[in-house]
Amino acid sequence: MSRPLLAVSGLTKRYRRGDKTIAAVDDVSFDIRPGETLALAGPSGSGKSTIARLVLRLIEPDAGRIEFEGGDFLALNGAALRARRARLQMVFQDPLAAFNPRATVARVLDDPLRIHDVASRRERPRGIAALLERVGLSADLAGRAIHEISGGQRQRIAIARAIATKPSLIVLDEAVSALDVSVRRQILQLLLDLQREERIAFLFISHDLGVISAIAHRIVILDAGRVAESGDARAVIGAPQSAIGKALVAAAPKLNRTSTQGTADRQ
Amino acid sequence: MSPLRRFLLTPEAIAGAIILLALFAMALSASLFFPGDPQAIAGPALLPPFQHWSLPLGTDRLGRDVQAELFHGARTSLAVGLAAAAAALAVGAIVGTLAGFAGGVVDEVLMRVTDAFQTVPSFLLALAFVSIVGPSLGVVVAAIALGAWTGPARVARAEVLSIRERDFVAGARVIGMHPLEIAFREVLPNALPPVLALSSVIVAAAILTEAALSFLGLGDPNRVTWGGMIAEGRAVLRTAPFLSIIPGIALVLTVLGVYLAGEGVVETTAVRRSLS
Ligand SMILES: Nc1ncnc2c1ncn2[C@@H]1O[C@H](COP(=O)(O)OP(=O)(O)O)[C@@H](O)[C@H]1O
Ligand SMILES: [Mg+2]
Repeated sequence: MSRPLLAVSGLTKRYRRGDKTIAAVDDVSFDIRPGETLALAGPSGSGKSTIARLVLRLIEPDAGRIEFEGGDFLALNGAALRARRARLQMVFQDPLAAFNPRATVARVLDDPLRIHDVASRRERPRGIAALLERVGLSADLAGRAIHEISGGQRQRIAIARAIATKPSLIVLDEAVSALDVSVRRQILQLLLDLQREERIAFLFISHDLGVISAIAHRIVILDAGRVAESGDARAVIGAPQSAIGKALVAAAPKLNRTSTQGTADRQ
Repeated sequence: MSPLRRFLLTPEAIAGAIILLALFAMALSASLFFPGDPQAIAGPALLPPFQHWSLPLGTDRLGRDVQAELFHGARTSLAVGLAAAAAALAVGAIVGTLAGFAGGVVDEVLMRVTDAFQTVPSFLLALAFVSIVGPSLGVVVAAIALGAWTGPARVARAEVLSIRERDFVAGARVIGMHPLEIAFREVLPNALPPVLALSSVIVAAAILTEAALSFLGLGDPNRVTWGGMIAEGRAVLRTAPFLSIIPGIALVLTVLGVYLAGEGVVETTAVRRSLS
């Protein structure tokens, strides 16, 4: 077994609600290996987004460790943290909210190339065109405003921005949940292609086991901030042990069809 | 419907726009129609208005052309009002953005400073500043801005507090953008609309403050100002009231025009926002 790319252990985040504190994330541990997709599943409010934000250092944990690419990720600060962010990217659920409402496609893709010195000022327009092509979009889109393009196109732009700095891990928080079925299938296919070609690992967050079974190798199921069960995605979804796992499987109507199709895709 | 058409639908906005256009025309044409020093003697002293075709608004105690002074005074009023408001909005937006975005101690300190400025009446602040530094156009602009930036700072901070929680700010952090770039390039432009909505009130107040400073003799002595004209006329208020009334009317109309036009703009953009 290769070394984990991301190793999370004992991760805990508490919030005050009124006069008592609740643990949004409570002693959660998991690993992600290079090039692997780990799904984080669980009902709404189970702590999935909080884990995503902790892993990305958008918020700080109350306890726990996060090791990324063999180093203590929580020890990084300032410029060192910003530099390391090139390797750990994110795709949000709502692709409209994820971008500055005034931005153009070109600016959104230019930012990571500029900030991390991926390409010189003169080379960047070509870099932007290459990224657009990489995610299946026309280079003509560069001049358009973010609010002018479709939701599916926007999510492709979000993926293009995430891969611009050649990350080893992308956190996707409900990244396909807001898309309609046909667009969702295309985006999932794009993610699978990227993973195969560039060996990017995904922390794939979803409440939808159908989608998860189409893309994930392993799964962690959360219940009220704690890990309810975890293991091989197919095994867990096929025969869930925890109460919450059973409830999620029961709530996913077309699961069997999608899951066989999904696992066929994976092989 | 275009924003301009919608703007021109409200009668208040039309009135405001006409007044402002007239004011700008006066300010821009002042040295065209009245070249040379507006404070030079142009005729007999205390000539009443509408007596002589070349001096339609009459002359003051020293025989200076009131119409020329009015036109040149429009220039000072507009220049000082716009410059002071621009300075106040810029300082307010920057301070509010830093406070709201940084949070913690930075926010605490900046907001205490804002409180301090806000507790001193802004006119007293301007008065004290000009008295200490000495009257010139730049100092008057700074003095007025000193008492006017706190409102924009509060509005900007409140807006930034809500914007900084949005996904696109998290997205900017994730791609490794420097916090200052996030604050000023991502957050501030999106926080501007409610701050800019304050501009008409601030411009109007700045014009009034400038007039009041000039009235007290604290304006730039080398420039004609409406406040200075009113003060001049006070000595002969009983025999030649027009000397104070004419610049007084100009002042009231200007402030009204700025306010009405500003309300029209805010209304139009608010309608557009609620439509989209
Ligand atoms: N900033 C916050 N302040 C207070 N409570 C929070 C905050 N963020 C998340 N929570 C709480 O933490 C729990 C987990 O939320 P979240 O991670 O968003 O769940 P999920 O993404 O699985 O729906 C919820 O009960 C939520 O109300
Ligand atoms: Mg969530």
